[in-house]
Amino acid sequence: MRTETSAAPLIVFRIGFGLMMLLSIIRFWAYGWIYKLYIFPDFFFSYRYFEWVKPLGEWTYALFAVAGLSAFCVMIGYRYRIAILVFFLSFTYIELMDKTTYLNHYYFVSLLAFLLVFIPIPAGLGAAERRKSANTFYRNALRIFVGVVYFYAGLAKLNSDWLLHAQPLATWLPGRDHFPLVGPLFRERWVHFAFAWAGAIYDLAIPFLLWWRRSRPVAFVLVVVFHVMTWVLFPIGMFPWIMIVSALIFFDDDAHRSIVASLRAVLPRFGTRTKTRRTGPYRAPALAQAAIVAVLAYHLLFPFRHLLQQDELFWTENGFRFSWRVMLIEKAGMATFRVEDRAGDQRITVNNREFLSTFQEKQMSTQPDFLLEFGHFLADHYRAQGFTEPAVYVESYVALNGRMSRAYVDPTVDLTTISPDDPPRTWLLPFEEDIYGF
Amino acid sequence: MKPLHLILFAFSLTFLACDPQAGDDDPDLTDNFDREAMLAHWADNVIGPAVRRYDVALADLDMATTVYQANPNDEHLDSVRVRFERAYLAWQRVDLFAFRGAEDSQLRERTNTYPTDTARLLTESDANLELPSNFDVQGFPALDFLLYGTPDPETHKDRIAELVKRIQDPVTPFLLSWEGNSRDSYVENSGSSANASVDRTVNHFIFYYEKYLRAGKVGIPAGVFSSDPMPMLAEAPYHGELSKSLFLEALAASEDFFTTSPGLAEYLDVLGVERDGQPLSARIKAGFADARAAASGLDADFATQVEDDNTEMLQLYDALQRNVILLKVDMLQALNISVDYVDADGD
Repeated sequence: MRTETSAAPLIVFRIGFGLMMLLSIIRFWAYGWIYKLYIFPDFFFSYRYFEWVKPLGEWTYALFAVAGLSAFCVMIGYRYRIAILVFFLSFTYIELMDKTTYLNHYYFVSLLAFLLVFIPIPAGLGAAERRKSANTFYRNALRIFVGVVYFYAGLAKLNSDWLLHAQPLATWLPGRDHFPLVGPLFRERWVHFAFAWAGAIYDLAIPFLLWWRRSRPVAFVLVVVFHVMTWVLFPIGMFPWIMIVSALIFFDDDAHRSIVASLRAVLPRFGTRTKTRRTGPYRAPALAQAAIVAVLAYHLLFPFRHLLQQDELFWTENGFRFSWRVMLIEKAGMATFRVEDRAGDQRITVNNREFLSTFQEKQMSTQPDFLLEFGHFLADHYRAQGFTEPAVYVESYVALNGRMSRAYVDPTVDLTTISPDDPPRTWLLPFEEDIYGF
Repeated sequence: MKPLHLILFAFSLTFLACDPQAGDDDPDLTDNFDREAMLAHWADNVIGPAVRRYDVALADLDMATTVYQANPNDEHLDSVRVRFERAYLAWQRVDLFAFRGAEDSQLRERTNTYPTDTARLLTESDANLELPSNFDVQGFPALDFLLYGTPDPETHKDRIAELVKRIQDPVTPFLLSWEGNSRDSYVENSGSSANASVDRTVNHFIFYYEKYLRAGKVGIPAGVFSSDPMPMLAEAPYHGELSKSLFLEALAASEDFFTTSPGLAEYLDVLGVERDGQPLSARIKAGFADARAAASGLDADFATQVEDDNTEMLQLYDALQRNVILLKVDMLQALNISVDYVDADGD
């Protein structure tokens, strides 16, 4: 088996990834989201075991600057190994500060950055010229990484809500009915089904179509069409562009060499200056390879952890995050907390907005771990306010994928008696329906 | 071209495999729902006229207070009181639309912050009414006290006239925001982003329904948010028989806003939104009717009601709460209305 290959695909990937990350950080900053999401709120929802990760006040801007600067270094190949490590750490820290902002594509970026830490990529564009400057192992690792994201997103769509009811697309698409020309189509039932089935088949098939040389050009056109369409229809930010750039890794060395060649034509000085760096035929260090295998194994297995639970995944969301379950559920809810002093006669109905932003309140109202964390926070808060033995109850309602809203958390349960280790099904009211599939 | 074959195959499968279940029936969506027409209807036939009627009612009240100020007697006091009631009722049709220009002028806060601080109202006659800290010594609640809660309203005739003018001040600019260019920009902003008119109007409506109608008029005096009922936190407690009328007018304003055509009920129907086999619009309409029925047996004065029999007041609260859930969770979801005023990414 031929293992030595051109580094061109890796170099293009590095440049593309760095550029996308730099743009993401700039966009996030320019929209004022750093302030809105990480400085303005008084309370932040933590991930389990990462409770110590909190926004840094005004220094949060510096953290974003570090992430942006390291993304820039990744892009130009300046001290790449350190830059990608710094990027991974700063970006991941940002994502861990408040789980309100969790998005699958942020997790994709964090995990991909971690993978890249173990992939050596030559600086500059010169190495792309030489045919034996990298190992196919790395390129294939990236292909598997990107392919699994698509394939798992496709598997997750094989459920009765998506395939048999076209939910949640049937909820979302009619909201686009004011689009010129095609707008009225978005209220048509058959269009919802067409989008649902095409989306599932696309996700399942695209890794293989990209990998197989003969279908690759068509597949890449599909990638572009699909992602541009999702970008037009849904507010998904930079994700479509990141995926389009990532999909380039499936092209062969020649395609990447011509991309590099055109880059060098645009940036001649940049190319020649770094040309002098020489490295011999590349051998992958065993340790790095082992780390990459471990990351990929985690990548393949972790999304299936919900199989260890008996919860209805869409209802309890126990094991829902970090599993490439993209655009699968439309949930809306509301939650009213009541704090009572068991040792006295004080009781209060909480105004969530006193502690949370609109966005945080919205995310909290449909996710059990958020509701529980906020309940515990309220107990502490009112204990400090003079409640001797605060008990916290929540009256909450959730509507899932076009179903009628129904009571969510058991309103008779005192949340202070619940630990994050207790499975949500033990303190939520039952869903009482079945959603079949993955 | 294999992928295309695959997709075509999948499409044909779709039609074979799908046995539509409850809620999935195709409601035959041939007619278009025109969001811009709905916004125009709201601006021209609902909100604009409500604000105009309120403006006229205030002008009447102002005239009556001027007459009373010049010639205070029982007849003129009665005339002021009658016009106070009319203006306060007309306000209930405006309150739910207190956004756009109204947020900057703090229309709602200066018009109807209660309970009014009677001690300060009597002692601090030179209070700067522009300050938010003085919102509780002005507006209808302050007039309610001066007209009905003091031994001799005549001694406060100048204060009454001043407070009426103060209520009037922001209304003309607010009325203008529903006419001319400002009205056009509202109607034309008919998209579906968080800052588009439909999203903003509906969010404000639900915020109003939850906070000012459900909690302010009913829940707070009934003690839902405290340990005991709080009769003095009811609306218009000094008048003695107005709070139920104010509530019913506010409830009717909300119901009318939901059912007016073209409006939210029709929009839900055009989208074919059903929940558990029944149109969501019908469920919400029934919710309004339930609330009205729950209020029908109540005393004309809510302060009296919570002291005599708070259970019925709590039942009214529960009826109102059921519609909060349908409006805020089910309707917002079905209409794709974002609850956040700033767009953020999703996935």
